This record gives sequence, structure tokens and C-alpha cells, in this order.
Amino acid sequence: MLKTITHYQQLFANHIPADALTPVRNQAIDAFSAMGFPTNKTESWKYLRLTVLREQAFTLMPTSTLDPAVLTPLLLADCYHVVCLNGALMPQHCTVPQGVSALRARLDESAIQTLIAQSDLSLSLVALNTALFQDGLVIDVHTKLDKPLHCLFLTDDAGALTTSQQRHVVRLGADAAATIIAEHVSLTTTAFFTNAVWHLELAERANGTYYQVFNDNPKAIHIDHCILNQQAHSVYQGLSFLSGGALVRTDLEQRFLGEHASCSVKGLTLAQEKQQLDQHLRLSHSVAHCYSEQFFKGLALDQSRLIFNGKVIVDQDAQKTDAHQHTKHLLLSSTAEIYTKPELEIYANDVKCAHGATIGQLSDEALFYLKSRGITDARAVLIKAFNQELLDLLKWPVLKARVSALFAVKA
Amino acid sequence: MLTIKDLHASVDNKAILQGLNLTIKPGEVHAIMGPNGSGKSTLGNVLAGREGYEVSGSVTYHNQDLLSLAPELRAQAGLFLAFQYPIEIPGVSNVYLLKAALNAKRKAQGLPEVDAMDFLSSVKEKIKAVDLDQDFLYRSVNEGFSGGEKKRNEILQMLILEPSLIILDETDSGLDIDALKVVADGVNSLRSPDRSFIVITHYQRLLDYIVPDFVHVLANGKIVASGGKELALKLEDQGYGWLDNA
Repeated sequence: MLKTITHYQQLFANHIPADALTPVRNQAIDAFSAMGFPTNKTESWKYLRLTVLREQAFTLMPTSTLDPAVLTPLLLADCYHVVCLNGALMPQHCTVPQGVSALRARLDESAIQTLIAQSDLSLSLVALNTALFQDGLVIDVHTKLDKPLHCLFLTDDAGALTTSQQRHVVRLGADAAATIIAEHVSLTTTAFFTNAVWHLELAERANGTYYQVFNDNPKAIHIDHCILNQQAHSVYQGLSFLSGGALVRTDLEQRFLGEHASCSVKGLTLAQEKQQLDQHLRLSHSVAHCYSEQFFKGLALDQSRLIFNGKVIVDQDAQKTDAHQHTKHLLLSSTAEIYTKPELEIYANDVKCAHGATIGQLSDEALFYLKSRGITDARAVLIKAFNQELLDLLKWPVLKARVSALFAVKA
Repeated sequence: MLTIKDLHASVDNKAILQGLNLTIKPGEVHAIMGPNGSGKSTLGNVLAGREGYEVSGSVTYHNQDLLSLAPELRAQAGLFLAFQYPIEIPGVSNVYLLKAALNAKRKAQGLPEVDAMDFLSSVKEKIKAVDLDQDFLYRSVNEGFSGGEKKRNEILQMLILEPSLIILDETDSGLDIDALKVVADGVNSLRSPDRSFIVITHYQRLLDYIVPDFVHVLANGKIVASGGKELALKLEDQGYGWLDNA
């Protein structure tokens, strides 16, 4: 552990040039050095085995070039395209509306500095990211975007055991609307470590839809921390599909800052082999009259580990809050593990908070019924039926087919 | 068609079928009647291959050892069990199940997959015969169906799959007289010289509509009496008590 902390201190000292954020970065590397990577003694990390991060020294990912023949089939039709390779924006491969640029070029803006300076450095991976992030995206939208923004995050084999530390800022102005599809695809089979922090800022009446598809390779480690701030009357819809990677952890740290805003987050997770897939959400109703909804489904097979933690905090002033959380998980192997935990912290007295969590198995009755009709792959049919509810929320046929294929389980 | 010899089945060491013998020839309709707990439903389940039973004895179906086949292979070989309590399967549409089931059977017979348009027009024709709306095709299998709708849906599956051995497990239970006629019409439309039926029922009433060639009385896991359709009338009239004295 100490050895890897020293390693990241050296990366910071040798590879991160001075910039407008140097004071914050200094604090961040100190904070990370004091904490190291989370261990299972930290409550919100207790089911994840991060041994590989504590023992393996990942070097910074080099920039690389992209073969258009590889890229073209990945691009969704009728979308704007943002392509990042190894964490760096590839402008020559992008077709974007105004307002999309590389973060590195925007670090002098005080609003961006403020956002980054507000990062919670008590979270060790956020601290590590704040110290080491090299680049990322800034997406500013002030209108209603006519097409979705398809953001492809590609990782290639430019270096084994490398890390990309990415920082992304998405800001929807008042009355703006945008759909962003973030798709993470590996072009390599080697192990890498992506550590990304996202800032999503929704101004008054903004409408943001954010799809995430995590399809990293079976050795990849991917940490994705998203900070979402919502002003009054804003509407956020998140939908995540998590199937790839050796170890993937996503965090959503959401906060209502104005009344009558709504936040709906849904997701589907498939853990197989020895995957560890962990989703943590923290929704904060700090003001009154807001609506939040969480709906997550997941399946664990083989020796995998699936973790879900959804927390809703309703502050004393957040009267008339309407919050819902429902999770349904299927445990499909005797050696797989599912840890799911709804958490509600309610300090207001006139609120509606519903929650339900189930972990079950495929119904033997349903399996027999299908088999008795001659269906050979009854198990796969039932798994597909379980997944369909969320897959059907994908509106683009090409993306739906791509994601459905990721979630197809062999009979 | 089907030869059952000395069939025993038990659950958790509790014997249910205790040496059942039955031979069914092509084209025959056999009714199985008997008091509650006599093993009628177990017979249907064991023939269809439901797990959870300790089974011994032999069952030969079309010259194959039926008991060695997995449930899906039995179905593909033309055996069909209409469930007493059809299962709800959220997320799987009726039309998907019908098509997948038909194609599984065709594949086993070495036939190509059914043409999608032909299939749909045939299904739309047959769903009329069971008096269900076309909407039911696109709903999840049995989800939210009434008891009668579930039973008619079983008959629809039967009409599509055209099985060679059909077991109706108390298909009449919970049906009003109109639904009973629909079910019986469906069954009768499939009667043919190379197709056989086992009709498991509590009540003689169904047999007014589906007229059996043979009636068997099952008690304590064995067939204790066999006869023609008049045996059902005698049971209706006298109950099962006289069998104990016989």
C-alpha cells in the first residue's frame, strides 16, 4: 500500500504540470497520501476487494491514435459524436455542437475552478483524481439539443497497467435540454484503471438525460464518480447498463438545490465470472417539493459480486418530498454474492418515501412451464425477460441491440 | 402411443403413484378420474417431466423411454401438458412463447423455422377459436389473465403445437359453461386417429363435451377400475365410495 501511495506521489510530482488548480491538486495529493485506497473498513467500500489497486502501480496512460475503421462501427447514427481515447478528446473524430471542448483548455475559467475546488477530498479516489486528472470534457449546452450527444470513451493497448484520470464537466443552462450517451468500450484486453469524476450541473428547468454503458474488458478497473447538482424545476433521468470490467464502481452524489426538481435513475447490472460491480447512489433532498426515483435490477452469476447501495436523505426542510427506491436482484449461482442495501434518512415529517428490495432466483415453476413447451433455453428466456424492462428504455435500435447482446446470458 | 408399466412416484418418501399401468393407443381418449389426493395431477406431472419426484417403472412413448427424456425433449416429441394452474411469466410475450415453442418442435423434427407471416396469420385464426382477443398475443404469458383466460390460453398453445399426446390436467376446473365449451371444442377439433388424450378431471361434466373411449378410476396411486364412458356416469351418481367395497 505504502509503495503504491509513493508511486502516485511520484506520478504527481513528475507528470502533472503546474496549472490554475495547483493549490487544490496539492491538497488533493496530500489527502490521498494520508488515506490511500479505501479498504473494507470504510463502510461504503466494505464489499469491494480493491487489492489490485493497493498493490499494482498503474502508470499514466499515453495518448494514442485511433483507426477510423475501428471507430466507425461504434458511432451511433443521428447523434453528435464525442470521442475520447485514453481519456483525451480526439477533436478530429468529433462532430459536436457548440460548447463542447477539452477541459484542459478551460482550466482558467473560474466557474470550472470552483467546481473542481469543491470536490470532496475526503473521498480517496476523488482526491486521487483531483491530483492527477490530465484532461476530460466540458459540455456546455444552452439550448435544446436537437440530437443526442454520443460520447465514446475508448481505451486502447498503448500501455499495459496504465491509468487514465478523467474529469468531465457537463452544464445545462436554464431551459436547456440534452441527452448524453456515455459508452465505455475497451479496444484492448490488458488491464487498465480508469478513474473518472463527472460534474453534472442542471440549471433551472434544464432537462438532462444521461445514459451510461459500461462495457470495459474483463481485466479493467473503472471508478466513475458523478456529482449531480439540480436547480429548481430541473429534470434528470439517468439510465446505466453495467456489464463489463473486472471491478467497476459507480457513485452518484446527487443534490436538489431548488424546489420542484425531479431525478429518476435506473439501471441494469450483470455480474459474471469473478466480476465485482458496485453502484452507490446518494440522493439528497435538501429542499422541498422534489421527486426522486431509483429503479435498479441486477443479476449475479458464477463467482461474481454485485453491490448496490441507494441512499436517500430528506432534510428537515424538504417537506413534500416524494422519493421511491426499488431494486430487484437475481442470485443465479451458489457462489455469487449480492449485497443490496436501501438507506433512508428522513428528517422531515410530511414526505412520501417508498422502498423495496428483493433478491430472488428464477422461478422453478416458470422454468418447468417453458421447458414443458419445448423451450430448450428456458433459463436464458427468463433472464432476458427480467432484463427486458430496462433494455426497452433504450430508444436507439443500434444501441439497444448492442446493449442487449451484452446482457444475453447463455443457457 | 403410450405404455405405462408399474409406475411409482413419490415425494419426500411419500408414495403417490403406486404401480400404475396404462396403455393408450393412437386416437384414443382416456379419462382419469378419482378422489382428491389419488395421484391424478402427479401422473400428468411425471409424464411431462416435472422435477421433484422419485420415479420408477417404465413409460414408453412412441417407442422411446419417456422417463429418460428432459421435459423440453418430451414436448418436442409431441407431448403436451395443459396445466391445472398455468404459470404467469412476466416479460415473455405470449406470441414469443408460441413461436419459440413451435420452432423448437420443428427443429427437433428437422424442419425449418416457421415463416413469420404464416405463423402470425395461423395464430390469429386459432386465437379466435379459443375466444380470446388478439391483444392476448402481445401480453406477457398468463400475466393478469383470469382463470378461464389462462385455460383458453393453454388450449391455444395446444392448437398451435398440434401435439400427438395431450394431457389435460383438470382443465375444466374453475370454468363456466361457456368456457368449458370453448375448451372442449378446441380439444375435439384436434381429435384424430393418430392423436391421443389423457383427460384428468374430477367431474363427469367435462366428459359430456369431450367424450372418452375409456374411463379409469385412480385411487391410492393405482388404477382400480376401468370402463367405458358409462363408468363416469356411475361415479357421478354413486361417488367413489362403492370402489372401497368392491
